Amino acid sequence: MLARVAETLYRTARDLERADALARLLEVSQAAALEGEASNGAGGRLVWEPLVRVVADMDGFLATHRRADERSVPWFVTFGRDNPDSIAACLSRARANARSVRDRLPSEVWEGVNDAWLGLADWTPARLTRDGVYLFCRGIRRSNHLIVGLVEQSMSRDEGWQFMRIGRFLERAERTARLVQARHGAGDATMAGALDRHGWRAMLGDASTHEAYLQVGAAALSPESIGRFLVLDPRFPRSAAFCVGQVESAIEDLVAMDAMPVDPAPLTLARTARDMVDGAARRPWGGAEVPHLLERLLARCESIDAALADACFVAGYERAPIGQRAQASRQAQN
Amino acid sequence: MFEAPDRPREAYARLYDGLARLRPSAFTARRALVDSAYLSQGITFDHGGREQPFPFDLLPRLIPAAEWGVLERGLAQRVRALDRFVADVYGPRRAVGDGVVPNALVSTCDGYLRPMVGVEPPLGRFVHVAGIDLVRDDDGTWRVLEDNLRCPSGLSYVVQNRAFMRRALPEAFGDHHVQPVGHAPFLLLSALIAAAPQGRTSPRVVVLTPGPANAAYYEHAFLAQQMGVPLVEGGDLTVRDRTVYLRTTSGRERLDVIYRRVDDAFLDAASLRSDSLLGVTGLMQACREGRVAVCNAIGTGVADDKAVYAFVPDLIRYFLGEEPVLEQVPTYLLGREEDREYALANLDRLVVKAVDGAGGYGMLIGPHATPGERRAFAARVAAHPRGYVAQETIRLSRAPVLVGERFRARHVDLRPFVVYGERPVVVPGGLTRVALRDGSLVVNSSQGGGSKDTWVLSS
Amino acid sequence: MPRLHAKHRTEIRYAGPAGESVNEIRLSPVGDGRQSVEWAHVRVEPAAELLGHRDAYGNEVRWFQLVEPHERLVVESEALVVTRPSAPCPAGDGGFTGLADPAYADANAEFLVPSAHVRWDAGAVGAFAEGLDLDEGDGVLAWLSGLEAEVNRAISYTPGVTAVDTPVADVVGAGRGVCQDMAHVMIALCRRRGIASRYVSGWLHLPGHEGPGESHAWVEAAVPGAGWVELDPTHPRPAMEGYVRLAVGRDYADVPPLRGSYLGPPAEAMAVTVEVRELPA
Repeated sequence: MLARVAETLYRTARDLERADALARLLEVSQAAALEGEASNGAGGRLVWEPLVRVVADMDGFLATHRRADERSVPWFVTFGRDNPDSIAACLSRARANARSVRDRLPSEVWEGVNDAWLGLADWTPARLTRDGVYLFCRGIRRSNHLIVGLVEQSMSRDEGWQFMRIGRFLERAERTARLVQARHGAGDATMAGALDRHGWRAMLGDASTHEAYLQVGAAALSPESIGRFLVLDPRFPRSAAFCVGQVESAIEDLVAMDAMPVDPAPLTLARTARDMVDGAARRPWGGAEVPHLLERLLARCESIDAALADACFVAGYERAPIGQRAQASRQAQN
Repeated sequence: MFEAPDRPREAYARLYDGLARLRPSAFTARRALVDSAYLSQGITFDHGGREQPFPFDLLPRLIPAAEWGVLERGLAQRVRALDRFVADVYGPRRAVGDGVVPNALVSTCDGYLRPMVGVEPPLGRFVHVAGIDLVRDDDGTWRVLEDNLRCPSGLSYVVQNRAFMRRALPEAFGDHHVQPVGHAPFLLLSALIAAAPQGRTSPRVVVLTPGPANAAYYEHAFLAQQMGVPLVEGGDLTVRDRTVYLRTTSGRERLDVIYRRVDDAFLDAASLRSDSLLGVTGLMQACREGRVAVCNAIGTGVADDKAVYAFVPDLIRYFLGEEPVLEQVPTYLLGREEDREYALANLDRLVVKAVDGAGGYGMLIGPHATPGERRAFAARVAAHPRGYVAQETIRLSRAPVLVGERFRARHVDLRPFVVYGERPVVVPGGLTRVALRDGSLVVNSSQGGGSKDTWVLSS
Repeated sequence: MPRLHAKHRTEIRYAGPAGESVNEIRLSPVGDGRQSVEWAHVRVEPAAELLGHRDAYGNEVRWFQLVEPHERLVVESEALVVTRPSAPCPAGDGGFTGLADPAYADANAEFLVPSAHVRWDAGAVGAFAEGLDLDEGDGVLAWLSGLEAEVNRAISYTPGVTAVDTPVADVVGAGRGVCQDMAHVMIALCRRRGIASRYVSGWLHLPGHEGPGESHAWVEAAVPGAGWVELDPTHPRPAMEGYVRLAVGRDYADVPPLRGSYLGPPAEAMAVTVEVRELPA
């Protein structure tokens, strides 16, 4: 598979997953801001600021917005021009990328991506306020379900599909780890005050995650058990551990189909990431170990991304200096 | 209701019967269906920097079998002669030597690329795909308007228009026997495989595109996908040992045939235009050594020159020993003094074109221009007469087009595609291009023209 | 008939590693009526295989590719050439009427029209041409000789003020340039007058001038009845046996000693040295 095409499919899948994750986060934050202390004026501190911290950089945000509240943050996350990772920006990138490799995508998949992007044109800040964030986010989630469903149903399990799989699950692993990390704050996992319980529960996000958690840990509903579920559950497709497992499996499959050199760096890194979560699963969850684990896991995910670039996207043997130039000329001087 | 098309009534009679059962509002609804499908699928053409869905008119354009038979023979003949001509230009130069074509015409042609002198592509073949523009004039005669051999565009729309017609207006197919066109990508692929350097079993073919920013990108992607071959950009290719390779995730893979949708001069910054980022440095030498086939070959643009067009009937006689089957439009070469004098005195009646123009740009339609526009154009001609030709204005035939809920007459032309593998094969019909503005004669997609599905009836 | 030993060295230093470099060299003399080549070698550093062919003008070209990163490129051409003076011209050429023959214009079309580095219009070049005092009464050859002298007088030889792509109009306007510029100016004026004219690049041996020089550029014009005649606005009335021909074309763009494309930083420095000396017979 062309190196450029592999990279493009990988990034397209990451951007689609990112848009989906942001939509979920926004939806949950919106709901959380309506109740309890958050609705009593503490919404900025309890809901909106943490959301900004998870998805972007607070200083950057405050450079263009006076404060984080129920008006500034939703727009920032959905269409904010000062946000290179807004939902709209992610979908635009995904669409432009998908277009540049549309010959390698089933036309229905391309249509799904294109339709999702075309749908953005119908939204203005006024409509977002009027019809609500929920409607918008639900639209994004549904588009993504359609696209992922089409990918699953109509793509051959070739290199293209595998690279998309890596992109989707690597992004998802990072998002989950980052979410749990943000909730952990400065590292004390036992801060389970009433203030935070709502936040932890909200972290379970949408209904399906909540329901899946209830199947395994209903009684507990503690930060520890929720955090552990989101990071380590081996079966739920949104847990970091599950995602890391998928990334490892996809890289192994690529090696088996000769689409990657034997024993590539990304595989080693993916294996150690999985060892990390496997090891953590065998030990009791909690204490200072959790933020430490999450930090290492996030670092590992970033390394996998960089290693993929080195191994497949810009092949090592052709690490050419950038910039194409014409050879210098000199006049006949005599 | 329907305005009369300039066609034998009987060809359209059955069609109208089939459609008559539909109410005008049904047409509008079907039209909306097609438009949204085009938009969803991103079947667009870049117009003024923005992607616009390719405007498509629901009414098919019909060509009876007997008429098509003549066109088919004429087009195949023309493409064979053009291929021989280009090969001769970069080879023995007999046509020039025997006075069939003046040396000046070739040596001052922008499409004449000197690095190709003495280079023979595999099997000596330069032309693999051609789009020949035809018009039908007042008295029903088909004439060749111009030859497009550089990167002829439109084959994807031919296939897609038919696919959409089948979905949107199945009633129209009625009891016509319409020749299929869906196999066109397969014909193209066969021709490309046949072009490979000899001795290569299972030749590897790629489509080379300038990228998604190119106006015709949709077509590049569509054809690559339909042929099952990689769509590549210059950066995906590399030359090693004067052989062209694909950069894949698992190493270099040799390739044999490049269907290039990049203009000739941009293909190799080392040997051709040094400011090009679209090509592969070293490609020219790989061609010189016969290790790769470029389709159409580098240098084929010399036959695209509208001044060469005037000589094609003589080239057919010289290279094939046959009389030309197809008529042309009377053409004046403004590089010739008497032609120039005539043309400048009659600008209000003639169409003047730049010899290397494309997309309908660089053109003056005398009867539709203001005196000021004609004067300005005359000045351009005077400054560079070799760069222009003039033709009598042909009253292009018109066909009914759905405008709003009514049918109106609009001028149309026809671009059939000839795919030249072992022998020339003409895709039935071709792209019927429509001038969407009333009275306009400009049909090019880059200037907002639309298209129709073209039906060749098998009797 | 002097035996000339010429050595031409081009060295380019890049501001960092350059790679994926594909190039064409036009530094190999070809035997013809005016010179015989005893031997000629071209080499490059880093080492690379050189593939040869003749281009559309019959010039010898060497193509090569450098894949690995390198910070320096050296191209060296060395040859031993026996030169001859120009063939004597028949007295009384076809005259200016010969230029009006359509066969002349057709055969020489590409050398009669503007090219990449040779363009002219009614402005600076037109004014300059009108200002020249050249008599057409004595035939084309005499006119060309006169033009050769006039260009030499009008353009003062000044290195360092023009570049490879300085337009002819600017050279004429400033009145300064090097041999390449003077050649382009003369070609423009010839073509403007309907005389087919082309550019010659090569090596020049000036007796008495020892020490390294540079490559040289001069002109050829098609004189009806006499064929291509060599002229040199930089050294009028040249003794052609001091000139080794390397390549001909419409202008500099057709015959650069080195052209190509690579990936990497711009060139930091480029030095060209040419040494030509006469060997004993």
